[in-house]
Amino acid sequence: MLFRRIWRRLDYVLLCTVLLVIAFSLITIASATHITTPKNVGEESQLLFGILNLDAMSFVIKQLIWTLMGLIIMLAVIFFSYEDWPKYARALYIFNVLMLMAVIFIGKTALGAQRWIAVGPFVLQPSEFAKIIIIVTFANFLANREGKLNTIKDFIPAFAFIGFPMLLILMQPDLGTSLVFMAIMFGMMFMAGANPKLLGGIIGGGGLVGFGWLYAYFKNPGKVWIPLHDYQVDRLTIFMDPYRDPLGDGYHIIQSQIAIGSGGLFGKGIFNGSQNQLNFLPEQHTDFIFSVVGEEFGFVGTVLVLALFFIIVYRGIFIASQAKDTFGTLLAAGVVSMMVFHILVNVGMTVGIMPVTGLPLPFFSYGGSSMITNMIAIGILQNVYSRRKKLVF
Amino acid sequence: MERKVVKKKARVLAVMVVLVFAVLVGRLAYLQFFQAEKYTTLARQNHMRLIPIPAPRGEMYARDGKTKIVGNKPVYTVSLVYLGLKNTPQVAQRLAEILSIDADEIMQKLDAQKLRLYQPVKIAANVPLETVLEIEQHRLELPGVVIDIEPVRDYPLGGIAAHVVGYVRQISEQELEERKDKGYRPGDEIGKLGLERKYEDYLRGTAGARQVEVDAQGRPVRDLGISKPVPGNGLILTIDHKVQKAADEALARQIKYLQENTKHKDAKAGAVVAVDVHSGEILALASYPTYDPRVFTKFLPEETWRELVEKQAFTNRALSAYPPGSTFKMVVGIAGLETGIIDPDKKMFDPGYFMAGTRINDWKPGGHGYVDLRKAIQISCNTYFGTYALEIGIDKIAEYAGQFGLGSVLGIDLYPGEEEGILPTPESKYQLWKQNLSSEQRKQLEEIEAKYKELIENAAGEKERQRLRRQLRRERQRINWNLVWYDYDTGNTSLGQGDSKYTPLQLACYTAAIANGGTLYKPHLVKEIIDHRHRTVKKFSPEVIRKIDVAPENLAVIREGMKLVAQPGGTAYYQMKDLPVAVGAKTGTAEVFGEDNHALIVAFAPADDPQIAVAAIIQHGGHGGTGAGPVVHDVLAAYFGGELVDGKWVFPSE
Repeated sequence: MLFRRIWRRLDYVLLCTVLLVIAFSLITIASATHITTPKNVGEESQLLFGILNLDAMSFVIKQLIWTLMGLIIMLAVIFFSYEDWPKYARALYIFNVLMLMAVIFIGKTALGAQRWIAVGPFVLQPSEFAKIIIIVTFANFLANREGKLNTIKDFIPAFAFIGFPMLLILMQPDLGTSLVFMAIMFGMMFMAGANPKLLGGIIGGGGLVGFGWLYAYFKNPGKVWIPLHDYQVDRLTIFMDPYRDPLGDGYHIIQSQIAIGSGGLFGKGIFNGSQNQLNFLPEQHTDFIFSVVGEEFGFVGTVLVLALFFIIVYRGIFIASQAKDTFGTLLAAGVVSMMVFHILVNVGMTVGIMPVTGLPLPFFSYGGSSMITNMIAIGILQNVYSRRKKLVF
Repeated sequence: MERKVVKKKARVLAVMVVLVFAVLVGRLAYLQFFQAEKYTTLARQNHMRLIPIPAPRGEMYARDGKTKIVGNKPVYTVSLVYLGLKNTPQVAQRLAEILSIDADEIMQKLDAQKLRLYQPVKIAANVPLETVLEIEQHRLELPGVVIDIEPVRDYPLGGIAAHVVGYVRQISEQELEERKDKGYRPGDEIGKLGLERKYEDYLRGTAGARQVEVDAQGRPVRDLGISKPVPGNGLILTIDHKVQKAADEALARQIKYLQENTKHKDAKAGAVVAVDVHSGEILALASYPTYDPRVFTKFLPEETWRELVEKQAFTNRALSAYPPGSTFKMVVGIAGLETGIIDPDKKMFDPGYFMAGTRINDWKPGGHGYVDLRKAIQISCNTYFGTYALEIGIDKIAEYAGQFGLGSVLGIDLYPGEEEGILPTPESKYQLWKQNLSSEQRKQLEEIEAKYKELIENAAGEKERQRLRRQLRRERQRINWNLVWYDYDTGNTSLGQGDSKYTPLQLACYTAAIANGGTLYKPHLVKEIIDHRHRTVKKFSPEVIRKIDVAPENLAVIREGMKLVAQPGGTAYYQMKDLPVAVGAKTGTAEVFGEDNHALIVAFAPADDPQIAVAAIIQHGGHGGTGAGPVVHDVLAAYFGGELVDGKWVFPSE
């Protein structure tokens, strides 16, 4: 029957690699949330620390629950054939915009940005799911315009399609996720057959304008207007010289590089990284979890994680090339673009070659919204892959 | 879309992905492989902290080895640890209120150390207990404030022997730079003067440290180890604390007395040195004006410091050179006896002056009548010594003065070191005045010197040479009168006037050498270096500088004369008469051009079996006996067991 056929046609290499990454992540989260028990305190305090550690273990358990929920949602995604999705594209797009507006008006504020909305007992981060919706709706949008992406005139509707929700996210403000939107957009447009020279020109030109703008901003302080707050500019550029503010904006970057560098070839061993265990490393179970890998498992550990990610991405590209139709190809390309960008920016941030933007590492950083989003993304890939040829009844 | 096109695009995408991963792996390899060592060090610096534990400095004991002159006492210190908290200024403000100091001062100290985060910064030392209790009461408002107990210098006998023991203060930036390879850290104490400085390396000890692991908030997580501080080595001094105390007090009292009760209003400074005649051990050494080393154990106001510097309280006058006046006359006597020119029993008539190219008057108008050597010492007869000096000649006099260590550094173990002084000779006079010539004159002089050198070398016969020498002398005179030595120079030198300058320490050692039969010992202040458990580290035995080439019976004659000085009719009789032992002495009154005379006296006792020698000077104190005599009296009184009761010396009855 249908379910069994789908079951047999899933990409198990992809699935197993994802599960391996998650397993590695759970071990790392355990270490990152482990509280060092002081050895020179009384028995009572030791007990207290034991309880706190139990609490710390709950991070692992919670993440495990998110993983299981994610897997269930992934399965659900797999079984609703992607070929039926274009029907809902318009509704999804409108839902997405409404959701992002809701964040701005009723969202919870954290770290100077409104990114969360409460849905019943859960706190969700709609910008995470927005990425998925954008991939699906934009794939549909591009599939309908196949072969008609040659001139700048053809590009403008596509830019507008992505630009509107992206602006809403920028208003939260969530610079990182809006950049993810850009990556998704350019990746998918490339796969959709957009004029590569024009596309490259726009990316290169846009980059140059961006750099030029920032340069002018720094050379003439207070005179050049920029669509960002000063603190955002500072955070965006501090990675180039973290010692400009070693106890403030540069602190994360410096400590992360110390953690990774001091890990050396084989690492200091689990629960043994001083940067991690003594909390020199900030946000070590979320944004900076890769630094914990670097410190405690060394170069061997970081390369292993990157290799696993490479397999996932590689399978994604393979699936894009095997898809039955353009819509499927574009879906896979969107997922690949999103994942690669997350990996590049997150890992790049921990090693000091990318700005700190708060993008989580897929399947690795602690957090439910991110886990479910990425599971849906894998579900999309599996969905496309399992329907790569017409099913024979 | 065609499958071929899709595959091609997928390949391009794959290449880009490979590039992204290659960049990341490359960067990771750089950090974790090539830079691993650097980051390992940085990580260690992050979480390992060495908290220094200061070592108590070595203590100083009097010569009995038991009486403590300089010790340590524990005091409370208040430090502040900068935790990077936002409310640090408020904490500083609150702490400043409690300590009643300026909050800005605290912030400045913190700023100076911001780069070494989480290291305590010492804010105040020697904090009274009430203040400590107040801080404890307000603990919650004062995060990061740490109270420690630290050793601070203590002076159980009061501030005696200030110029001997010296003082300690926080290390200066310059000293830190010079001694950075010796493990000094900012805020460390270091000996600045006296023995504290001279024996710094022994006294200092080795600071210990506690190695702790800290978390990102700087809170200690666990102790990793402790290395205990090793207290510094102690010193057993040669100083007799009773004699020293008498010396300190006598100087101050005598100067006050002279200023208030005599015409010698300029008597403001002085020094006294007492030395054991058989070893060169310094029994007492005092200089005035002085300072109280206790001022350095607490906060020292800038004003107080400036005052001390202005009155030159840190100058050790016992090691500064002064004209010796008649205390030099024994050298002339000894040179005369040794050369056979003086027959000690032969009397000379003193008309009240003598001729040395010019007329030099005796201090007593009309003269002393007939005097022999002993009498000449007793009454300090200028005519007697001046007349014989001319006969003996400056070369012999200078030779014996030099043998007694006058005009040369004796090598006492003290900082700052001794002045060399000036022992005038024709050569030294020539060199001194040559320096004062204009460059033109100097050139002229050098030409003449060169010319005569050659002439004298080639001269035929001794007579010719002597003629040439006389001629050279005239040539020199022509250029500058003062290039040449005259008889009145010999006269002046033999009376301890003119350019002569010797330190009180040299005078004491010279007197000791007369007293002990001709051995010049190296003066020293430390008998023994001991560790903190009082085990000997190093012993200093008496060191002989030289055996003076002089017959013991000749020195005995000199001593007999000096004994008469403290007998009825002698120049120091009134000052010494109540002492329980007979004293040998010699007074000196050095003329200072345009100012009041310096008062000097040297002495040894007991006269017949000398143990102690003393030299004292009161600058502008007038006559040697009345000006400086009382100081030496008090030193000897203390040495021979006297006690000062209600301003009167009381001796144990035998």
